[in-house]
Amino acid sequence: MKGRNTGRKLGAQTLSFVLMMVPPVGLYLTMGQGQDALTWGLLAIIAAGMLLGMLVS
Amino acid sequence: MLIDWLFAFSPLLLVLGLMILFRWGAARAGPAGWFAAVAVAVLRFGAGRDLVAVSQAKGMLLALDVLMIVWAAFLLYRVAEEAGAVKVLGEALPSLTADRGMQALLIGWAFASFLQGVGGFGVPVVVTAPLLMGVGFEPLAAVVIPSLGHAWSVTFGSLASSFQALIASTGLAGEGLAPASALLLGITCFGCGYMALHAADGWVGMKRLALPVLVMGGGMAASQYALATSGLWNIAGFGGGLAGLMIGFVVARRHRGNPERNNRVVDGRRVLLALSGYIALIAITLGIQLVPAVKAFLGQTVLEVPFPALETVRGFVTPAGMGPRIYPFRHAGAILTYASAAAFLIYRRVGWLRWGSVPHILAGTVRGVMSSSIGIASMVAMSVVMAHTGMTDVLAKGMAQAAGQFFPIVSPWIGALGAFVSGSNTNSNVLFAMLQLRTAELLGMTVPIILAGQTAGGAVGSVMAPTKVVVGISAADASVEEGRVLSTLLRYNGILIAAMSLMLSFWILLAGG
Repeated sequence: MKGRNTGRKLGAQTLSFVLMMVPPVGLYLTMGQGQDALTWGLLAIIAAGMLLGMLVS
Repeated sequence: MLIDWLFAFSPLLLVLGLMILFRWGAARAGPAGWFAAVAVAVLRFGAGRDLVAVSQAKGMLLALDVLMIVWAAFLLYRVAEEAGAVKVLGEALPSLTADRGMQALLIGWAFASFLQGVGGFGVPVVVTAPLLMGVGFEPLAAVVIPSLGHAWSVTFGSLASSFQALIASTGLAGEGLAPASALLLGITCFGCGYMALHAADGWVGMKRLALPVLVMGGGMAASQYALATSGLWNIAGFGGGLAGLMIGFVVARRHRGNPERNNRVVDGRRVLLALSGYIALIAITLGIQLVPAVKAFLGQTVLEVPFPALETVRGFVTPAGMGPRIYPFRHAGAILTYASAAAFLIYRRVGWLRWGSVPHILAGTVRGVMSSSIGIASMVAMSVVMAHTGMTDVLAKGMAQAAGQFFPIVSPWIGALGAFVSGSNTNSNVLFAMLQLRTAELLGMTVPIILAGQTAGGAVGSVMAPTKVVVGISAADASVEEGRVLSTLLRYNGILIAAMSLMLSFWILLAGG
């Protein structure tokens, strides 16, 4: 049981980290192209990653 | 001005408050600080959506630069630990001497510093505290001695991830920052040795073993300085610790104590085999750094991207420029990965590891680094947002006005505070290096000296961080009260940081600013 919980926590932390680190690549690639919805979406994903990191750590 | 300063300080205050009052870890407090920084940046400092977006992209690259080292350093440590190499070294050391003070110096100072050089992340105390208890030290002393002993090697330890954070956060060249930082930490090394000795054997031990501290400390400080100023800063802490161990082996022969208490025999071949993984690291690092053809070959791939100029609604401008330059195949993280592979093959050849150990090593590495990775990534992102919206600038101006010419006295305490609350010298440098740099510039002070104060203060502050203290106690004896360890460390390290403040003030005076 404890092992499963540890595994879940690690999985959630890994997901949180990926959500923090991958969308900035998209932000860089779409910089200055006027794709407003995409920029907002990627920023929202980063915020979700941060929130997840807070909740599971 | 004061209102702006308070708003600019609020994300840092939030991180500090959550960590101190609510005992949150960096992985929880970091994201909270990021939310606060973005909110203040947008609502008070006039940051637009694009500014926040670009600063996230830049922050990701800066975080990657540091995290590559953190991950790979932990991988190398896991390979050595899985092979039993750390245990072999730990068992060999107490056999060399029965002198209580000398044991503290060998295990709690030199060996702990060596472990900080190759691993870090609380490993020095976790490994050496049980060893010290095994040779008869009280649990409190067993935790305090290595905590004090390895503090000087934190910045250039963990394969210099904290120093890399200093470079990444400030954008300054490592070659310019290394001499001052290595010098201040080198002087601190002697202080750490004497403090560890005092904790082990009181004033009597300090008097009796004053010369061994000078000899071992001289070797460790000089090795670290020589490596750091030669561009080999990623092995500077490791080299310093290794030099301390080697000198310690020789010095211990002159201070064997009561031979009746010491009848174990050291197996030299096993010790050499245990060290072979780390010897591979030295060979690979030197091969890449010193052979121009290899360096050029591995430097063919460069990750470096341009960023546009950014401006807030309030008119704070960040000029266009290149992001951090990362050489993926000769980065310190890559070198550590090569060394980890070499160490694995060596340990496998002598039968200490099997191919089946690989999944266990990798899983342990991911488990060990994930939490700190979230903390580092979120705090780097927070720090970049603050820098690009003028918040860091407002903080620096306020501090420059308040502290004035006394800023060198304050500088190491800022670094120590950051490390104390965040549990890491790396996090402290990410949070405060830019602030210290701007304040030094505003006051016309020599930037590398002030940044040396930041990182040296951070190094000493990190070893008394509650998170690290708890880890150390859990490895030694859970019955030791955290408060007793903390207050003892505060007493010793307070003296060290106060001495740093004085040194920094004189240094700035001598440098003429």
